[in-house]
Amino acid sequence: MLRKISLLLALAAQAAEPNLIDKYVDANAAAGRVPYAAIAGDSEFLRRVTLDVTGQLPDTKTVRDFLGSTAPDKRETYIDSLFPPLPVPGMRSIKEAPFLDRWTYFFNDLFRNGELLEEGINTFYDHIYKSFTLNLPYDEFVRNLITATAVSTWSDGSANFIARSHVFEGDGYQMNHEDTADEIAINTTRLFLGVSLECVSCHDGANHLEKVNLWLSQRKRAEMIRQASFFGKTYISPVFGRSPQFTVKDTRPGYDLTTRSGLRPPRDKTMDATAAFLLTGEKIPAGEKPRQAYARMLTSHPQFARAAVNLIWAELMGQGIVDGPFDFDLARQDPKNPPPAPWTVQPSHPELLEALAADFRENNHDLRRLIRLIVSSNTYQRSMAPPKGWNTNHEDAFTRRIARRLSAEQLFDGIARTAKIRQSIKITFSEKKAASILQTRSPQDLDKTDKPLFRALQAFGQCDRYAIEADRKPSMIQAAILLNDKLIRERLVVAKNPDLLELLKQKPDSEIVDELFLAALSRFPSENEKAQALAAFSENREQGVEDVLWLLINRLDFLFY
Amino acid sequence: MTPTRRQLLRLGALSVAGYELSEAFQPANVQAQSRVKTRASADAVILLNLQGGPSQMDMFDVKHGKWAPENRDVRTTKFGFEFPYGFLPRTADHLADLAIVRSGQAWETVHSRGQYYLQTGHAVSPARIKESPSIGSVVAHEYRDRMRASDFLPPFVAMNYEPTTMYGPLQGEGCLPPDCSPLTLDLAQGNLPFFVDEKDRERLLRRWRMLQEADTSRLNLGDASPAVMRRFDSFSRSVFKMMNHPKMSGVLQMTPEERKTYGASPFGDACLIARNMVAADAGARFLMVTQPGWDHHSSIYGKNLDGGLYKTCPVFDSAFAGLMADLKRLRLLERTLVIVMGEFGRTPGDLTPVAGREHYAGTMFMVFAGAGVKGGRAIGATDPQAAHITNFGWSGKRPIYVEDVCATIYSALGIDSSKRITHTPSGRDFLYVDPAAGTKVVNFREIADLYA
Repeated sequence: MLRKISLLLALAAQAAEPNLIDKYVDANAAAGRVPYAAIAGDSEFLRRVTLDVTGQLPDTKTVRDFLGSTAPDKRETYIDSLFPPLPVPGMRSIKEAPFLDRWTYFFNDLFRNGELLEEGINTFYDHIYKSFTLNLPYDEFVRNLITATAVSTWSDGSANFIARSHVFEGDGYQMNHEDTADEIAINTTRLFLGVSLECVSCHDGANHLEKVNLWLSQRKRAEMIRQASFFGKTYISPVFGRSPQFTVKDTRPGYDLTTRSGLRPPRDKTMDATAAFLLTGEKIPAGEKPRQAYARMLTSHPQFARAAVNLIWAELMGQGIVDGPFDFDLARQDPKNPPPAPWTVQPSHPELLEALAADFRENNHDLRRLIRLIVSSNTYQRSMAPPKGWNTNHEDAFTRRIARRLSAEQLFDGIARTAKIRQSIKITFSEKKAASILQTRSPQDLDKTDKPLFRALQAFGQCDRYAIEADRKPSMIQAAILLNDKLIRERLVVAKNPDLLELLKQKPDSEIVDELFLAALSRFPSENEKAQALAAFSENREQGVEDVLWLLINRLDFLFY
Repeated sequence: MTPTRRQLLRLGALSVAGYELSEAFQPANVQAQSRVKTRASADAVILLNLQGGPSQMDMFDVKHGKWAPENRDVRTTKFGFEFPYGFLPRTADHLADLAIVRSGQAWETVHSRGQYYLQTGHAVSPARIKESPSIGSVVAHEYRDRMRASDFLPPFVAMNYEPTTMYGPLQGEGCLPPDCSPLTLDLAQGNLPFFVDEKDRERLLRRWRMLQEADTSRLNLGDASPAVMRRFDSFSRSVFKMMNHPKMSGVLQMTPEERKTYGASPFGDACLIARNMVAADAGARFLMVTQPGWDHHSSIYGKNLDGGLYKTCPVFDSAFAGLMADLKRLRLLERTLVIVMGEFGRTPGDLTPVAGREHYAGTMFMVFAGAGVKGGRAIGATDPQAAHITNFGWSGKRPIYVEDVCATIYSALGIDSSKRITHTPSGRDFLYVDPAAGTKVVNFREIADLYA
């Protein structure tokens, strides 16, 4: 009965009142006569929003409740439930908050919080986790990272952000101060303004970037050096010799143009290296510390909010309004002031980007509000299924869900949840255990405890927090792992799995099949699917469960969402 | 349940042997520059990647000094050059087939940058890292049109490369279509998802049938379905075919005796599988096998420590000698180019205070065999410390660089190395062999002298 109702509801999924996002997406789609995909049914919506906001599949009770609910505002209510409460005085610590795990992991990937920091990983992690627990305004969060000082990054987490950009000389012993300052400028400009300065950190943009990025092709290396010069006084030093435990303070004399060593070509000794903010030319006012000034200029510039909303949009929608999030071309943002041909305006929806950025700024740079705004929109809730008349030219319109493969972490956490495997991963340099991959502090936790799983995560594009960015591209080896790898075969063995054995003892076959489908796909099986699964059970129930689990995790609608 | 036409097509496709390339991929835009005449003397290239930077003066460019350990057993071979019989006793049996380049030089002294160079033949450029394909992926792209019905292996196979923060990731297809990505196998982890134990095969087939019958998300794939899903489905079908190809278990089979001959190590096992893949003549064209552990910063001659040449040399020696012997015995060496090299050399002369050697770009060795390479030779020479090249020993009259190795690989496989990929994401062409190494312009070319 419940199922019938939920099916009816799924068919009747209606577009909600258009929100800020829908207004711009709809106007754009109407102008380009782009067809719309239907609003996703409850199962598709529930699975997607849970994965995107918390990184995990919804558990079967949540799925049953949601599908069974007839409340007209159940999607909004459900979205609200994904966010943990803000701590208030006297409240006990939040025990389980997949939202916090997922977004801390996301920023740990971006900030490359990995094995090169050793024990600093945990203090850095804790700092980020705490910032999200408090829902610190994003601009304040970023200012804290940029201005942090520490006697030791192993006891004070926030300074790991600056320390992480350190560059050793080729000998691996000495720090190269100017390369390090360059690196901090590059990383902060990339992460928080969406602009990649790597090329102009060695040479002018002219004669290099004309076909790549109009704005950067007009930038000079000297401008990049003046951006780096904000970190000329930043002192990063290993506490004990080569140990990745760092002291971070502001005691260096300044940016030295005569440095000859390091990875970059020699700098122009005659240039003016006075710190000046790349986007405005603003210099450090008397009395303000350089890093404080930089953090203030960076976070108050409109591009800061644009880059932030575009980054979160890309993570939730599968593609940025400017795609990718760190490839902004600042000479191609304003439709009222378009770039010369053959260049085109870069964002697919420039007005939407502007409106989202304004909303973010006006609302205290509230990340949770931004995430909620995006996932509540009709635009986010459209189906993956193609509408009539769809062609590849429509792909930037955001009128159809862009299918994404589960991330490496989502996939193996999802397999564990579907197969009722209890995960317990030892966290390096800590007595704590992680109950999911998204709770680990860095890839090294699994590298040190479960090598086969670590290698499988790598095969599925896990970010290594060093040179490899998180990636959702399919590959042959991924398909092979899911079909036949020992790792998967062993994970699906019922005899070794107390929770599955219990399920077999407690429930009739038909309900077991329901339970497995709900866990994997957030929906009940169809008649055909049920019949096939029951047939698999007929010879041997344990083997049947294993085969159905294998079938489920190899389905494309398990792997893509 | 009556199967639909689409289902029948899918099930039918299973009986066709062969590594399947998806139709869904857009071809990259490739243009030839000057039409280089290729040698086309090889059907396959095996690159043994000695990761970390092997010591040239202890191996293929052996030198003397008060630092030298006693038991390297350096003797003059019948070819007139010296060789460390103590470190590489079994390799010594194959010198008649080896052309040993001693005038090699590296551009980089940082592992990750050197490995990037070795795998792509190109300098690291932050702007282009994401889009630059590796040598193996270019080979895969070039061989798309030459795929035969009997091929069931992908053209690019990479074994035992462990991506680490120090060495960087395995370089893949860059801007080329995803079917040019490497097939990765990790023998150290026993990670062979392509191997199906006969006792498990029936179950895998049953599961696959279930998937074909019931996975509506696969059955309903159409032109408007997301490209990533179609691609994943295509990969699944390819690997399933591979797993069930009658010859596949032969490729992944290793007898205990064979393993012993190859040294019974992950590197030896990978060399054995490389041999099997070449012997199967099943479409594998560029096989990179990595041996980690050559970064001997300390105790390079220490016998009781985990590192050192006393540990890495025997592993290499057994595997390489085993591979050479088998390729010859099976008459495969004539059409297989084997290359041995690392990402750079090591500092010559006295050891560091911790009895090691640091990274060094000035000299490095490269070893070539097979596919018409004339063996029993040392090409180029260095000073008594192996610190500087004293004789380039080839028609290029300059050091031999990784770009030259790259051009040699392409030529041996019949690939025009003057080609370029246009319309890359960055807007800059990707040249198969880039004449600009950093700020220098060098006329890189095939090391034709190997064959003369």
